[in-house]
Amino acid sequence: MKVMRLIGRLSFLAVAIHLAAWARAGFAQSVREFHRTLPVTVSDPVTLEVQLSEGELQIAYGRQEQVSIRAIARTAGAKADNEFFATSLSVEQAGNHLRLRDLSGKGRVEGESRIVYRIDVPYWTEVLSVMGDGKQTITGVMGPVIAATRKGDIKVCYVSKGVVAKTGLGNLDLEVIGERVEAKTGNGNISCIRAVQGVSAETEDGDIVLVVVGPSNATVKTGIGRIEVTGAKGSLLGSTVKGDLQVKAMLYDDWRLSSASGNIRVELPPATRFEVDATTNFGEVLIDRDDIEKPSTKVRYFQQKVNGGGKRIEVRTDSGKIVIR
Amino acid sequence: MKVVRVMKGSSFLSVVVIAGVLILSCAWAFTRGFTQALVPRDPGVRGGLANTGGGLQQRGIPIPHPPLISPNPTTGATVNDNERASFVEGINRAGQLESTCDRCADVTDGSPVPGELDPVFPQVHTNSNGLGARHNADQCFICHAHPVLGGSGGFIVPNPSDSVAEPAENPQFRLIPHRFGRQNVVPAFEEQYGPIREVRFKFKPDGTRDGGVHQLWTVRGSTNDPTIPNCALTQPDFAAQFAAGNLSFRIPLQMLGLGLIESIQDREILAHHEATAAQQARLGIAGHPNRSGNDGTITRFGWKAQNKSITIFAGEAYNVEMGITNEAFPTPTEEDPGCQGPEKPQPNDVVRTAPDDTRNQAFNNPLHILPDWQQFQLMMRFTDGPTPDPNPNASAQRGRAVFEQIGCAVCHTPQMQTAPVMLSPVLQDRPVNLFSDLLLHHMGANLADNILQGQAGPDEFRTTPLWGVGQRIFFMHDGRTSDLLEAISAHFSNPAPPDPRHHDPAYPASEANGVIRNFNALSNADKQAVLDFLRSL
Repeated sequence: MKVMRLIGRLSFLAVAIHLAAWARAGFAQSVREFHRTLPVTVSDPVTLEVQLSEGELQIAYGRQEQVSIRAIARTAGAKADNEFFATSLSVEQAGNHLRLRDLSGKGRVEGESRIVYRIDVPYWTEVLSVMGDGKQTITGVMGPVIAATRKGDIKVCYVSKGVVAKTGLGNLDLEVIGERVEAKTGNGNISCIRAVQGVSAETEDGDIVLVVVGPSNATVKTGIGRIEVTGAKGSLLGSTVKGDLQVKAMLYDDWRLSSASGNIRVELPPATRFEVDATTNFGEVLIDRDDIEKPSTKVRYFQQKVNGGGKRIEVRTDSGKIVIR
Repeated sequence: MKVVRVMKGSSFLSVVVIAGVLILSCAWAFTRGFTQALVPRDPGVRGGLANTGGGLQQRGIPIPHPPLISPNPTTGATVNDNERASFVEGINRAGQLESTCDRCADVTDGSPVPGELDPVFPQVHTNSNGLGARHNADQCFICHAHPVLGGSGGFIVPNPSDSVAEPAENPQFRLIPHRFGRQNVVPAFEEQYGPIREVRFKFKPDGTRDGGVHQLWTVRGSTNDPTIPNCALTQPDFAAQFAAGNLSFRIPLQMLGLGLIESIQDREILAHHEATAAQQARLGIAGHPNRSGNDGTITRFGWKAQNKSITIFAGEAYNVEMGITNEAFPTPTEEDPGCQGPEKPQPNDVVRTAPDDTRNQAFNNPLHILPDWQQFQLMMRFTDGPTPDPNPNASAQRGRAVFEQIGCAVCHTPQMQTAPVMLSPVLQDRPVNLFSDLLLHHMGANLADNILQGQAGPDEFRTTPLWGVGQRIFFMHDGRTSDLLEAISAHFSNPAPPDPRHHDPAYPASEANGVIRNFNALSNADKQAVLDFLRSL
């Protein structure tokens, strides 16, 4: 009996120890950090090339003459050992050219993990970054910037030169870009604010919002995504399938707006000189302006030179409604 | 034989004389060289002019942008995303090249300019507007570009649109007065390789005090503003004012680290002052704060600590330096209707609430709604202080000790601490290596400008923060020298009686006299160490 009790107590203790060990392995968070500061010169641009399979990448302006790379891995599986970054991350420097990449297969951490890469660079930096899965944020550099992600959002702001941002699945957020922007997502929204040299935005399905942009084209190829443009500073070519299309701006150049079944709304300041050519096959054209004589009956086609005419606005929809105000 | 002997004798004498002359010459040359080696000399701008500011621009290299504030050394806190965005947007605004009327900008407001060496600091095409009928400059960074953008006044390439850059020079000499066809006469005090100078008039024609800034330039002749074809403004007669001794010059101060200086509490400033009371008494130093006439707190920005905050400074600088009116300074310094044009609302640079897109606002983001001057102050707030030489030589390291021994550090307080609790963790409770007590001191007749600002008297100046002095080109409030040794000497001044011809009152001795006597008593090696230390800052 005594022996049985002892065996029982020992068994209980063994189970308790086992459970404690399992809990530690299962829930304890392991944090590993990598930090390196690399000197660069002011006399040439820094070219930064990043290739990562996963994680979150942040590239931002910091100060001249140095590039600071910080990577933090947080894992729930406690599988990241002290050598984690030493064996999984490669940083190469040749003068002002820097290349950061995770070594194939070693960038993955078993268990639930999150790796954040933070790279502070001088203003005069060009960026080429390619990621597998993960979010990218690039801020405050001269550029140009080329950022591509298989799956994940991309945010690029305050870049003085051109930007190419492409993701297979995710949103694109672009703001204050000095030269032409090319934004393409397989499935996701595109927002572009203050890109006065123009934007080319294309999504398979998602919304497109453009604010204060130069000559632009915006295309939603499938689905119900809508297009909203405020402050177009140049020509505009907008196309949706089912989604609505709305433009509110002063008129600097010709606009061509089309949708298969979405509604299209155009808002111009009073007294604007323009020529409108609007057609809907099964919907209706509504005029809500003091400087245009409203049609007395329901119309599906409307063409007129307003205030003597000027830049041309062509609007086409198959079954949607068109509003000019 | 006798002749031969005489000849031999004279030859011997000649040899002796020649040898003597040679020995003396060598000794003189050796002594001269030795002495010269020991004569203390300002090592000059750290890094050299070619590798800083306009020197880089001349080589086709963009002038580096102001550094983002470093992580808090006490807590490790860094800027958050909003602060970083404000800082970067602020750089964009401070770099804008201003046109005059609201529709005159070549590129949409606030947008980088393609094709420029630095699209954020354009020199050829305008990307903003609101330039005043009278102004000193047409963009913030034009006077704050040394050694990096946000620094003090330096040199800029005068012909940015040409394929071959001319040597960088004072932008007030050719670039600003004549940009976009403006027809200004350059006063003699703006020298090609001299400091950027703004002027204050000491007295008005009726003999009462003036003290205000009189802008150098007008927009007359601007080829990029069709709305003011009849602007016929003339410049003040600077030559006559100069001849009458009525001008006081000021050079641009650097903007780096100003957010940190603003974060220092009044009690910290006063505590440092009290802590050195015994040394002050020994050296004949007094010092007192300039204080706000509104709330009585210590004001600390500007050559006479006349500005309360960097926000006030920003609003004031926009109107005084660029003639751009704003919420803080809503009235133009020049209201001539022929030079304002019908498309220039006043105040001009205000929070953007217009319903259309003419001011490039995007109402989903407050950064786009805030006016330029507000973003400019946010840029200053999150700019780091100047970075000292990370590897100072042995002489510079020794110089710091000498600097403290002789009493320089009594006023040029090496370090203060920011407030313990602030909204921004990156600013709070961290050391600021400013090398200033932020107080006013009598500097005597030698430096007196006979301008009153708040409680700053005619010979009183704020102790200029020395951080960044290692890369500064010009020194003292009027930029009178680019030699640190001369700048140190300029701190000395004997008492002076009144001079009624120039309305000068009697001036006391400079409070720095005791320290300068200590400096003058140093060995040449110790003087050199102090200079090396200063150039390491």
